[in-house]
Amino acid sequence: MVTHGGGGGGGARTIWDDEAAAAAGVMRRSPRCVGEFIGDPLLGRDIVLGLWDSRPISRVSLHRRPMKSPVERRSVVGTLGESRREHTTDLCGGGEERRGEKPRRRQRGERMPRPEVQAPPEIFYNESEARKYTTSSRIIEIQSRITERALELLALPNDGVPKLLLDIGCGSGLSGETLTEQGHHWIGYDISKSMLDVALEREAEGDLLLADMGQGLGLRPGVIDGAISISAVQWLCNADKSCHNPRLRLKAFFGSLYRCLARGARAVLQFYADNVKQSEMIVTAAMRAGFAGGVVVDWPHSSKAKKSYLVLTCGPPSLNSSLPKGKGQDGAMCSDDDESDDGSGDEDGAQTVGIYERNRPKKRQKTKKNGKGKAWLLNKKEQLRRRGREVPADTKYTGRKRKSYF
Amino acid sequence: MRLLTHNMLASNARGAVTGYPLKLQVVKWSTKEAEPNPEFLRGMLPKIDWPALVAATQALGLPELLPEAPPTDAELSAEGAAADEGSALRRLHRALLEIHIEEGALVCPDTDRCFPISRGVPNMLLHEDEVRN
Repeated sequence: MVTHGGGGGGGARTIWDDEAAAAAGVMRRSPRCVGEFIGDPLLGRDIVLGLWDSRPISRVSLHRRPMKSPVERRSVVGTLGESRREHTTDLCGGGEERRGEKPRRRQRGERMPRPEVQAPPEIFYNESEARKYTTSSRIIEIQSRITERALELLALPNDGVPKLLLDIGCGSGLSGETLTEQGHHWIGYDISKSMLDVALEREAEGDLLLADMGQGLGLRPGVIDGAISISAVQWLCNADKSCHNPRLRLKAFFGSLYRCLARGARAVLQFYADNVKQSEMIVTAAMRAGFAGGVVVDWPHSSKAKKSYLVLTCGPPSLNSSLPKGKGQDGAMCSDDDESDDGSGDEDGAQTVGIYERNRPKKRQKTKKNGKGKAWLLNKKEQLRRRGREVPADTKYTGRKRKSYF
Repeated sequence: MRLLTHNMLASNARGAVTGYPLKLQVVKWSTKEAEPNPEFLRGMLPKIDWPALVAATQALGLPELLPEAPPTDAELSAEGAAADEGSALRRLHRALLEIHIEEGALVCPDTDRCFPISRGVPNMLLHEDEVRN
């Protein structure tokens, strides 16, 4: 059923053209469009529903988060209001019929939804998901790169003495491997048994604990020299069970972390916040627990490489506990292949545009006004000649500069 | 799980006052060789709860592994302590870092809540009604 205004006369009509559907922002899936047209001048141009291959179509927008499947009726805090929980309800209607359906193929360019919106961590990280952490070299590389950066931000004293560290959300022990390489002893926390099984298979050097960080860490006070956490803290913002209260869980986590850390010790927690509210909620909970510090954002202008690290210091603030600077904050771009530490990889003095107020940097403008130059032209002609193409001979006129009045 | 971790771990179930030290029930344990590091042990020594560590070694059936009193700094940094098999350093190293508990349980001293250990991983997950909030 398509409700549509602007059509003039009332009554129900049937539309057979795709244009009206396209105008409503409805994604086209098949050439056959069967929709009922109810003209109502009062409703305005707002097509809500239509029939598409005799299936209800819903409005699909690529820039929004994909609609949650009816299976997840979980509440996510921070998406709507300050203290308001949004209970995900079945927006599509007819959830029972859709449950057995095959999942819709993801469109090109559409983002994979974050794991946090899919299932609770102990369910999401099942055996097949955990297996990815040993087989995918991309995941392994990203994990170890983040861990190295977290260790750098942890700023342990460089005296060669191994430390006792915490790895919260250690998963399959990838981050722990980096800690072991640096010679430290570590205790790993994770809620997913499958991930810990993988860690045991990989013979992780640290001690593993099956525990929920939202219930508190359960450690003696003041015994740990530092803590890292890779992509774990944002899970605390979800209320996966009716007994979960994200605020209380964050409080329990940061409170117990603060207690178990030694004076002056640091904790570096890398997290993916879904939105600003979540980020604020995490930082506020950390500050309430007594930590000093803040968020360091690496590559803030890149959607993929952007990583937020919550750098926390235990104990009174001192002169040397100032927050380190994030990478790429001066507007430099990071590319996938080079881990440029200086972040200024500009060639031949090409200028980058100031991008402080923009979410996304502008594409680098072409600065050469004079075209590509004689050398480029000669090289191109030589290439074509080698391929056997008919190319005019090189003369003194080749690639010469035009007169300005041309 | 090594005894180092056991020494740090406390129960945070509802009703536990300190939840420390967790009583150790050992079904199976193993020894894995590790490189002794005197600096690490010297740094850890002030943080170790010595009576709890001694009680843990007794639960393992190794009453003579550690003395009643903690070793002094001088004993740990003595010349050739790392090489000498019976030195205080090597004993501490063995107790803290080489003994792994594979199967067993940890019991909260206040509430008698039992946390099972399987394949060396203690299950510290609490039920909804045991969470302290």
